[in-house]
Amino acid sequence: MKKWYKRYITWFCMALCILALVGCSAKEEQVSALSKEENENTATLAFSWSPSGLDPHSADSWEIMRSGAAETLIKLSKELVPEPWLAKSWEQVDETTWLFELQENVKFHNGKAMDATAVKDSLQRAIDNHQGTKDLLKIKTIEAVSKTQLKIQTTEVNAALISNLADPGTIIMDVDSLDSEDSYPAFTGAFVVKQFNQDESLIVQRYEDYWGDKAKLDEVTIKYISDANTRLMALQSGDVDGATDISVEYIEVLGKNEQLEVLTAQSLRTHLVMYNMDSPLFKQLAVRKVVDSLIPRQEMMDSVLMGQGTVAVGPFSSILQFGQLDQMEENQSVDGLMEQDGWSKNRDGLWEKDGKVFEATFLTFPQRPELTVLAEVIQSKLLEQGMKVNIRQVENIDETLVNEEWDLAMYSMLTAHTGSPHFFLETFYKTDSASNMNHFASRTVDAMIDEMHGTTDPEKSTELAIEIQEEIAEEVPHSYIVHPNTVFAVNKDLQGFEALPIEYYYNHANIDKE
Amino acid sequence: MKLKRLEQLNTGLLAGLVILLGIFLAGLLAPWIAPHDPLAVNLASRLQSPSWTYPFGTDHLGRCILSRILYGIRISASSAFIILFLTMLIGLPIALLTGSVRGRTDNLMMRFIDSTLAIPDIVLTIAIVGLLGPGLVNMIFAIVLVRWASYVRFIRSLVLKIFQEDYILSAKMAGNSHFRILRRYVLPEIKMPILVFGALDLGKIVLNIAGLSFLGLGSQPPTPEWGAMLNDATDYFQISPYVMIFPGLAIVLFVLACQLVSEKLGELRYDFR
Repeated sequence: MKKWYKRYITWFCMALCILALVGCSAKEEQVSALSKEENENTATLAFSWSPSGLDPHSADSWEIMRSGAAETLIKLSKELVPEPWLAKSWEQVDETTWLFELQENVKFHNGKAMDATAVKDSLQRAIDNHQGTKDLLKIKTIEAVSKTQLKIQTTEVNAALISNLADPGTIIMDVDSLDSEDSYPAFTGAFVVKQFNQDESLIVQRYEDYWGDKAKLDEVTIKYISDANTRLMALQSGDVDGATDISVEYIEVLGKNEQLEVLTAQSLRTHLVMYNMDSPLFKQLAVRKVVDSLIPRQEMMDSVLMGQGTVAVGPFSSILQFGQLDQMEENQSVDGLMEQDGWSKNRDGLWEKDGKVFEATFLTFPQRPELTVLAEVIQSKLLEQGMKVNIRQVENIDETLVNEEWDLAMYSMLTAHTGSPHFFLETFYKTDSASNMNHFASRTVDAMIDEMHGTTDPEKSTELAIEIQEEIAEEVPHSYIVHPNTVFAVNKDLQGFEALPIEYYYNHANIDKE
Repeated sequence: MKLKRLEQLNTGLLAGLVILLGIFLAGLLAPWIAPHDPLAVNLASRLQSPSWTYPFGTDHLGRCILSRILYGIRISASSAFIILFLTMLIGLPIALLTGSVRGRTDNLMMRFIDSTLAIPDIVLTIAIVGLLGPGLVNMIFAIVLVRWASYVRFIRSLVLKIFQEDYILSAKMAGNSHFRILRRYVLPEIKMPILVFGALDLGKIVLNIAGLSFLGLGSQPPTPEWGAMLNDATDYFQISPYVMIFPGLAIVLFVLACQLVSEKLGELRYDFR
C-alpha cells in the first residue's frame, strides 16, 4: 500500500517538473520572439547614474537631460558655443536685460502648447527650487512680453547667462503637469517618458508631435548600471547597445571585439588634489608646492589613464579658450622648500618639525575608483621623499570635506560644464562660497571674479579668466592632475551615439540602429 | 600515549595543520622571503603576467602580487586571530556564568543574544563599520561585537549539558566551590568542542574580513589585505586575471585548511571518547 502511494507521488512530482520546464521555455521563446520584433526600432543604453525622480529642477536634472526627453532654451554645440534650442534667438537690450524669441509650434508631452508664460513659470520654479540654478542665473525678473517673447532681467551683469541657460537645471517643463500623480512630468524633447523605475531603468519613446526632426528610434530603454564592470559586461553580452563611462583598461579588450566600438572625447572634467589651507601641514605655501611638484602627472597619464586624457596645467581643459595657460616652472628643490618651512629630516628619512613627523590624511572616495589609484601613486611618491600620507576612503566626500579634519583630498569636477569659467571660479575660489571646501581666501581673486562677472566682452572675459587662474596658481590651493577623456563603447549597429566633451546630451533624436 | 595519538592523526588533520603552519610561517618571515616591497609602486611594470621576477605577476600599480599576498597574511590571518581571541575572551566567561548559574541573569542574557542573532551578522557588521567609519581597527571591533553572541550561545549549551551530569552533582556535594567546578570539571570537558568551533570559525572570520575589505570597509589602501586586493582587482580581471586569482586562492587555501583542521579535530574528539 505504502509503495503504491510513493510511486504515484514520484510520478506526479516528475510531471510537475516537466510541466514547469516546458512552461518556462515556451515563455522564453515568446519573449525572444517579441523582443526580436521590437528590436528593429529600439535600442538599449546603459548609463551609470540613476535619477531619484523626474523633477528636473533638482539634483536629478542631468540624468533627465541625458534621457533625451527634456530640452533647455539654449544648447551647447560640440565646441561649447551656445546655439538656439527652445529659444530661436536672443538679444541683449541693456547690461542686465535680455530678450528671447521662443520657438513656435512647440508642444509639451501632454499636448499643451509651450508659450512665454509656460517658460516663465518653468524658469521661476527652477530658481525657486534649486539654489545652484539661482546662483547660476542671477535672475531678478522674468516677463512674458508676448506669446513668443520672453524678457529676463538679471540682478547684476551676468555675462555667462546665455551659456548658463544650457544648464540642465533650467529644463523647460509644463509646471502644471507635476500636479498629476498618474502621469510623468511633461517636457518638450524628442522622446517622451514611458516608464521610470528608480535605480533600474527609464524607458522613453518617440514623441510624435515633436517640433523638430522626429526621433529615428521608436523606443529607447536606458538601464542604470552603477558598477562599471557590470555595465561593460552588459555591452559585451549584447544586453545593451551602448554604455557610458568605460574604464580605460578595457579599451584594449573592447578593441578586439569586432562588433564593438570605443568612442572617446576630451572631457571638461579635471581630477585634482585639494589642499586644506586650514590644516597645520598645508597652511604653508612651501609644503603645497612640494607636493604639487612631486605629482608625476605624465607618468599617471601614460599608465593609470593609459593615455586617455591630457595632463592638466590649470583647472580647465585646454580645448577651452580660457583653459590655455602657460606651464609654471618651479625651480626650487623639494629639500630646499621643506627646509625653508622649518622641516628637517629625521633618522628614518622622514620630515620632522618641532618633534612631529610629517603625516597627512588623504581623503578619496570609491565612486571614482581611478582617483584612489592616483592617490596611491601620489602616496608612494611622497613617501619616497620622506612624507607619510594615510589614505582614507570615505563614502560621501563632500560631507567629509566640510565636517571632518583632513589635509589632502582627491576630487573630480566638471570645471566648465556650461562652457564658461564663471561657475567654477566663483564656487571654488570665492572666500565666502559654500563650495570653497579647502578655505582658499584671497581678496584680489574675489575682486577679479566680480570683475569677470561684469565683463560681457568675450575676449576680455577670457583674458580675465586666465589672469584669475594665474593669480590662484601662485597660491597652489589645488594641484590639477589630468583631464581624463570621456570613454563610451557601443555596438557597431548603433549609430549616432556619441561621446562629447559636454556631458548633457547622451540620448538624442538622431540615434539609429541598423 | 602521546605517540599513539600522533599515529592515529589522520592525513587530513595533518595536511590542514601543515598548511596553516606554512601560512603563518610565511607571514612571519614575509620581510625575508618576499621578493619585493609590497607597497613599492612601479607604474612602468603594471599588470604583468607571472614571470621569474614577479612569480604571481603585478597589480594595477606595478606592485608584486606575491609580496602583497605574503604581507597580507600578517593583516588577514593576524586580524582573524585577534578577533577569535577577543570573542573568546568575551564569550567564554559569559557563557560559563550564564550556563552554570541559570535563572534570571541567564534568561535576560539569552534574550539579548537572541535579538543580536536575529539580524544577519554581515548586515550588522556593515552597519557598525558604516557608523564608525572604514578602517582595520573599526572592522575588528565590529566583527567582535557581532560574533561574541554566537560563541556564548554555543558554549552555554555545552555547559548546560555538563551541569546535568551526575559527577557535577557529586562535586557539588563534595563541597567544591562553583569556580573550582567550572575550572576542574567543566573547562576540560568543553575544551575540545571549542577548539573545533574556533578552527571552523577562523576560516569564516578570514572570509568576513576579506568580504568587508572587498566592500572597502576594512583595511585602507595601500595595505595589502587579501579582500582589498580582490577589490582592487575587479577593474582589471578581464585583462589580467592574475590580480584576482592569486589573492582568491590564498583565501581559499586558508579557509580550506581551517575547515580541514576543524572537521578532523571533531572526528578525533569522538574517537577518543
